[in-house]
Amino acid sequence: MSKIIGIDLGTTNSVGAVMMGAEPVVIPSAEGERLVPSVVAVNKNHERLVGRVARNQAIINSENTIFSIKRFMGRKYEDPEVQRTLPRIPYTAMPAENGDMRVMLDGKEYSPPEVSAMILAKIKRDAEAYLSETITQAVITVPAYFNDAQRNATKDAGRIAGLDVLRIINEPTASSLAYGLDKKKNEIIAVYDLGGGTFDISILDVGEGVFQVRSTSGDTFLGGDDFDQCIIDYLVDEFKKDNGIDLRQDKQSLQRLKEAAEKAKIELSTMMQTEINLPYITADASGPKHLVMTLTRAKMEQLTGDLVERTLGPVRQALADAGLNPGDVNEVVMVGGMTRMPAVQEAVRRMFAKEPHKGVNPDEVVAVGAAIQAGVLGGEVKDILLLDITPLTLSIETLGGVATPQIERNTTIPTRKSQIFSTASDSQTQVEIHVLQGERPMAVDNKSLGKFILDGIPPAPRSIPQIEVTFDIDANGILKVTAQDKATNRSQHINITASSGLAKEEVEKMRKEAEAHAEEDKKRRDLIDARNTADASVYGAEKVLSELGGKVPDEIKANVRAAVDEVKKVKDGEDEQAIRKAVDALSQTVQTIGVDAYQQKPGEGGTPPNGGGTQSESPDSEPKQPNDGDVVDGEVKDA
Amino acid sequence: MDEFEALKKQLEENQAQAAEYKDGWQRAVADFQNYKRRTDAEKAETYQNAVGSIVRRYLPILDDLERALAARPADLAWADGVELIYRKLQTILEAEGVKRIEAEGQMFDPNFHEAISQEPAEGYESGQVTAIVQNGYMLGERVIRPAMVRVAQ
Repeated sequence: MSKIIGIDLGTTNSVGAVMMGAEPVVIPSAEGERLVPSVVAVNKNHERLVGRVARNQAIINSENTIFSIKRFMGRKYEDPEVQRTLPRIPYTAMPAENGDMRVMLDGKEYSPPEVSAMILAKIKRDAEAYLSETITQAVITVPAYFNDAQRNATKDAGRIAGLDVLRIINEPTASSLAYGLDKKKNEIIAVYDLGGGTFDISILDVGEGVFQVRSTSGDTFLGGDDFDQCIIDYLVDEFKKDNGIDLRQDKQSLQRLKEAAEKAKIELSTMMQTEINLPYITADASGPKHLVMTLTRAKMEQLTGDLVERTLGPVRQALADAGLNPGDVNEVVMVGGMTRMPAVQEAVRRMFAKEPHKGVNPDEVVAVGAAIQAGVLGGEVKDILLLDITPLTLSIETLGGVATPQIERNTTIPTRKSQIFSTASDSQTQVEIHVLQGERPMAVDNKSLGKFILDGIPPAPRSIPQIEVTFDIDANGILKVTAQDKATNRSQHINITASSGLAKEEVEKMRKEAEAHAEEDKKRRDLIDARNTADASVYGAEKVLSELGGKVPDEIKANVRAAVDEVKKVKDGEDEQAIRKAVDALSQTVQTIGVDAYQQKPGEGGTPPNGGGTQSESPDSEPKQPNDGDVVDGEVKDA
Repeated sequence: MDEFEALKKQLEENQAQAAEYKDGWQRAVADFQNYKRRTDAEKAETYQNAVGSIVRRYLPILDDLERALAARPADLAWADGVELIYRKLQTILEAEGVKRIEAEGQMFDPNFHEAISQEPAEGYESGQVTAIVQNGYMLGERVIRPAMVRVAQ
């Protein structure tokens, strides 16, 4: 059984998406883009072009390049929307005998579904290439106001493209699905869709996972392109004032202006002002001319304010038609690239006195919703397969009060992680496992989920015992932490239920705190690491001295002892650098023990230990550092 | 229904459920393997895409330098320095594998060219590129920006 894809068949651009596991993923086109221009053309060699490639040659092949075909889907020639569109298109459109729409492409007549099918076929092809499997089924979205004829036309388009259209869903419904609003009970949703060329406002209600359209309104000739045009007009007028040249006459300048205007508009969504910098935009008798202008967000909002205002009329109309007040709306969803503009978001916020849903890419949200619906139909997104994630990192406390992470936050569950730990002191016979939840590096700054002790560990030097600690979270979010001594096979565990952790608001607060304290936490962690290293090196040095005993000359012994004392002196202080310096010095002096030990054996000198001698063992002359890539990463301190 | 029948029914239900779970599990494993395979293949492509998208952002600088040099006043030694800067930028991009699309005199191909206008032109075939308004560039096999051209009618 192959995947079912979701397709947003748009007026200007189309998008395909599919569920991969539990996540919707936008399918990139063969050209590597996430949006496919809804443009179809036939060139002089009778070859069909679809998408970006068709757009590139639109100007020189305007009669045989079809765009905005969606405006004709399911409509008769006499339809007012068709009549409004006809003056804007350079290709030929005419009525069929029964009044249906036809367009002319390469001397042949095509119905709008046949043209749409060409776009769908490209999306199907690109999806098959991306997923390496055959795609035969799809969910396609349509505007909420589409009537039966228009929905059937879309289904036909799918069929012609070789797709079995399992369902036609409304675009506002798809957007709501993308935000998980199907889980809401008896709520009113307003979907504000301001795209490249059209504006749609839909009022829906949702209950029991079923969406119903209460009303729709909009402006089919209002979109991002109009906003660009306002900026272009301003730039051209200002330039004319300063230089007396009308850039509108020059196609080349106009093209650069268009790109610069769109870029400026996008930048002003995140910045307060931007510079439009177009050197050598044109030239006159006195030489080359440049266009350099600063455009502030305030100015742009002033230039485009009318357009934003124009969207509010249909919003009020839709509310009135549904018999509702703006305050009755529970959820607001934003769709379409233009909704990234702060002024648009502000207008919507003011209208409904609510924060609109954001987070899903507004250009892709309809396709994402279609993919989710496709997933449900394909039986992939069963409830039991909707998996959770752990919102916060789970750690255990190790030597020095450090939180050593075992399971990172945002890990999908169920999951399991095991790690070997050891003891911190010689003859330590029990370890305390302290389970923590949170992002801070120090145990004390995280939430304690539980503690338990594993005892009966056979006495041994520190770092020798092997205690395997396993974190196991099941699909219900229940955490079981087990500690097992690999020598005796003795084990202890605790179960921690999800409710003993942190609530959603606390999770957010924790994350913010971790970010705020990141730097000082790191310093603290580094200091603890240095202290642990110091402990280990002192332990190692003293061990070597006691093992080699009399074989070490008094002078070296004194040096090592002095270096050990130095380390002990700074170890409990706050100066990390001093600790590291003292540890390095100790390490150097301890090495002299080894050098001396070799020099005491005449006749065997001269060959380096790994130079092919007959010795198979080399004496361990350096103190064993726990951080040397051993299995032991941290030591669980005694209770 | 007696106990035996009830147990038999329960067993059948459980077996059906187990089969469903197994199937679901196998699909998840298969999905994961496919995803892994695809992700590994994509890694190399992802790097190229990243390079392409960064290079594309710097292309306007190249364009503007070309415009500056096209309007270069005669006998201005200072402009030599600007030309060197331009050449340096070209070299750096070439080292990344960026190639200019040579559209001069080619037949218009929407895979590589974006038409900005169509005019009658002496000495050109219909559909032939008459002028490059803005250079286009490829990175490997991919077009990072099509050449903006004028085409003969």
